[in-house]
Amino acid sequence: MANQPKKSLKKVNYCNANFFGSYDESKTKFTLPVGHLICDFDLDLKDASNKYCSQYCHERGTFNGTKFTFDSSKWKYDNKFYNKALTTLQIINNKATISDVVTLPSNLSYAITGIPVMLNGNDVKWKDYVKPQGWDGSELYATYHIFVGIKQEPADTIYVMGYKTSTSNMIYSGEVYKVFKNLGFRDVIKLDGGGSYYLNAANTTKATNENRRINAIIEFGSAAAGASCPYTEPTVTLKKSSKNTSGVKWV
Amino acid sequence: MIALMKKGLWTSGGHYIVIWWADNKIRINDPASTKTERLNGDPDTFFSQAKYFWSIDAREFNKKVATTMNYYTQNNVNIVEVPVS
Repeated sequence: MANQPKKSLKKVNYCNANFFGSYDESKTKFTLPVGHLICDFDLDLKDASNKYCSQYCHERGTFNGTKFTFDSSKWKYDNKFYNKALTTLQIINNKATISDVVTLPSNLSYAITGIPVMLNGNDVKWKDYVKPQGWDGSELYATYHIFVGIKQEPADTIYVMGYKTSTSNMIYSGEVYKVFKNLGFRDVIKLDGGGSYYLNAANTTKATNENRRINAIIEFGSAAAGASCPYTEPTVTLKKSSKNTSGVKWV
Repeated sequence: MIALMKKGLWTSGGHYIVIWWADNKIRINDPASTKTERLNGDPDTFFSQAKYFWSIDAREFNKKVATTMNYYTQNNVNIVEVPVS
């Protein structure tokens, strides 16, 4: 969870992620997710915007420590995706899958709903498949978009992609299906784009001009972002001394 | 590991220290001392004076932050390969 203008995060190696709604309360702007989302939530609640974001996330979703779950099937008010089977990237046991889910399984570590553009190696039908999920097509116009794809299922690697489309409905035209088919993908979903578009990786940033407040981001691990463990795998195990164990509690 | 030491070499009352390695000695980061005998503890002395241990395994976390992404452009698509972890 970010809830910050996309260029103002003090982070590197991330992209904009989910679709969201923008809200304004007491002249404070904040965002809330649209569609399923399971993410880490560690916002600074001293920030007024984050406070509202947290308040309404508590109302709409559930928290387990710092893990936030918004299950779209459980929030009815003003939710056109309520109880719809939404195509969702799901991470479980360090494996990624993309499938349609009405209610989020309880054992996921991360999840994010997107617009399906390619499933099981095939294209998807805009009118018969995508539109009934609740999308209205305004998300698909010609601009820069973020996509997430996998090449097999379950997958050890996810592919986060930035691409500029040129047709007014990238699904109806088959534009993105052709692109991702040629790249060897099995399943691809479209995340947010346009004014939300932001992709920073390896010291390179691709973004549209507007510094729009976005809701959640996908962070990419990087060797530069965190030093690797300086120690090798331990070969010695600390064991209780046979002579001096009194008062020692092993946990 | 974090250890709470009782009265002895490391403290006259109670004191927390960090164990970062163990070989023939218990290798310690001691926030209150740089004395060699307190940073490189004799195992018998150490175990006799340790009251509680907390073990913290950060290897999975370190793997996560150390994951190397791969960024490239193919067919006009900017692609980041992200290992799932």
